[in-house]
Amino acid sequence: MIIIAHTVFLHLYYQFSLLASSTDSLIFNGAIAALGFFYGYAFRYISLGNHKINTFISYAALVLAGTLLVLMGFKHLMLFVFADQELFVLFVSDTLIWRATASSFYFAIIILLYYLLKYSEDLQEKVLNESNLQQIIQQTALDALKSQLNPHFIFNSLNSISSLTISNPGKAQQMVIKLSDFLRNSLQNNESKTHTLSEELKVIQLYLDIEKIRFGDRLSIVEEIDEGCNAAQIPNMILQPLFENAIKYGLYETLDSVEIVTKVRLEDQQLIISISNPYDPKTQPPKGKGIGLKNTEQRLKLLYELDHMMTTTKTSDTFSITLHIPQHS
Amino acid sequence: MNAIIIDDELLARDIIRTYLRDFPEMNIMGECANGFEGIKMINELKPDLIFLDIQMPKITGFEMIELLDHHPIIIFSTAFDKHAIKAFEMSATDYLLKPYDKQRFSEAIKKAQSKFDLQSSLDSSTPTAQYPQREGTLERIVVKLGNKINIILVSDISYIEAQDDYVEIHTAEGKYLKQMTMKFLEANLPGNQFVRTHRSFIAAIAAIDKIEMYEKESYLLHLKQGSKINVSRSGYSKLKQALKF
Repeated sequence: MIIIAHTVFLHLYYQFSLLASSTDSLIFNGAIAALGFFYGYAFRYISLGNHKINTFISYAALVLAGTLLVLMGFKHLMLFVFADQELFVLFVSDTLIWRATASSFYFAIIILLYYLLKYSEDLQEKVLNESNLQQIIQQTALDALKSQLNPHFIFNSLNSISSLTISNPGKAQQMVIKLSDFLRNSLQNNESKTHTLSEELKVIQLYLDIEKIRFGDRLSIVEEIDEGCNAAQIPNMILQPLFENAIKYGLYETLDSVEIVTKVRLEDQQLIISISNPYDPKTQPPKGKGIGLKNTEQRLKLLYELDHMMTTTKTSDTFSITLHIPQHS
Repeated sequence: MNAIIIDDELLARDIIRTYLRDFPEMNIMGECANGFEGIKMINELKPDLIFLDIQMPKITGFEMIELLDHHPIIIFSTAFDKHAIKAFEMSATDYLLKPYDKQRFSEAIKKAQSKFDLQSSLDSSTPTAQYPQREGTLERIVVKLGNKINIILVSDISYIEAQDDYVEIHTAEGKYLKQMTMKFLEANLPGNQFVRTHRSFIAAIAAIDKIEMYEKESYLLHLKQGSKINVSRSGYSKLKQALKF
């Protein structure tokens, strides 16, 4: 369209020969369009860095250099081919400045279109990512709740209480209260909030006390917590699944008494929490991280946007999990 | 009736003992806290009835039953409802869901009592039937070797050979006899890890070293630890499928 209009205009208004008019139009517009597409693709696939101003300056310099190059080439080509048509040669020389303006205008439109396209794509991607993230968060919350309300734990605890109401009503009452406090904490658990380590350990203690009533002397707890760690901030109920795991493989699967060791220390603005329990690899099929542990890992990743915050190690008779939780100074 | 209580929690045993006080015909012979002690006590004391938890350390209540020489009446007492069907398939007389009240407990005792009366009226000399095998993908197999109980992880098995009514399970550590059928094992071992190569052999895919043709249409399977086992024609095509060659 532009090419035809350009040809007709030159032919009728300036009275140039049809050949000269059409060649002028074809070559000039074709070259500008080709350059435009070239830049379009180049910008799309070659990233010039993250600084917006730098990128803009680089783009502008590229466009300017390209335009000048095309115009110079165009002028020399025209002068060479149509050397016999004096008026036309004059016209080409005279209109160079207008041509430069017009081509800059074309490029501005192309770049604008490119950014509009890119912006809409980015927006779509962002919306998609956000909905995925939301889904993961909800799933994690649901799984966490499920694992806290572990039916094995709850019904066995209720059975212990039922037994105690006959043999030791005072202790039964104690256990009902501990179980209620523990369940209340689990149900009110706000996934995105943090609290102090000592608050977290208080809730864990309720859980461990209940297991102690169930299993008596078989369970013992060792805590080695460095000074100053108690006030450190950690996500709500992040340790619960880890203790549950330790109890499951340590206590539920062994005949002897079991010691669960918790160590906490601060190092390089990270709170390092490790929980270890004895286990017997000979009677347990080699399983990966269970749902509880996977959830904990995923939750940490969502909250802190860091990898490798949770590591597990196995020796021949001990399993330990270590968490690295960043602390703001 | 003579009974034994097997549960890893003292308080859970307590309540059964307490409920049983109201049944003067019931006599508690003993109590224990896990399957290992359970097997020993049952084979020694030969009770008429056991109260059995399922989730216990080392071996589950189901695995314990497989290893018994003496077969008492079983009442399961557990917090899990998902095992109920399996329990009745293993000829459980009743299945008590924790926590349960005395009335529900009495019903279980009545059922056990009538089963006991029926058994005694039939022929006291007939030994009680072997419990059927439990179904479902196996993760481990428990075997008894003299007084010792071994837990074999399915992932440790290299091959299994049929031996009359028994199977011989081979692992890197040795071989174990177990009263089981090849048919049951073929159906319940994880299908992506084992191949029935022959009427008398099941091989673990991970343990296979190479396949050798030693006669026309007859093959020999070499295993990594050195054993050689037979491969039938249909076994060969199953191997072909499993190993994709």
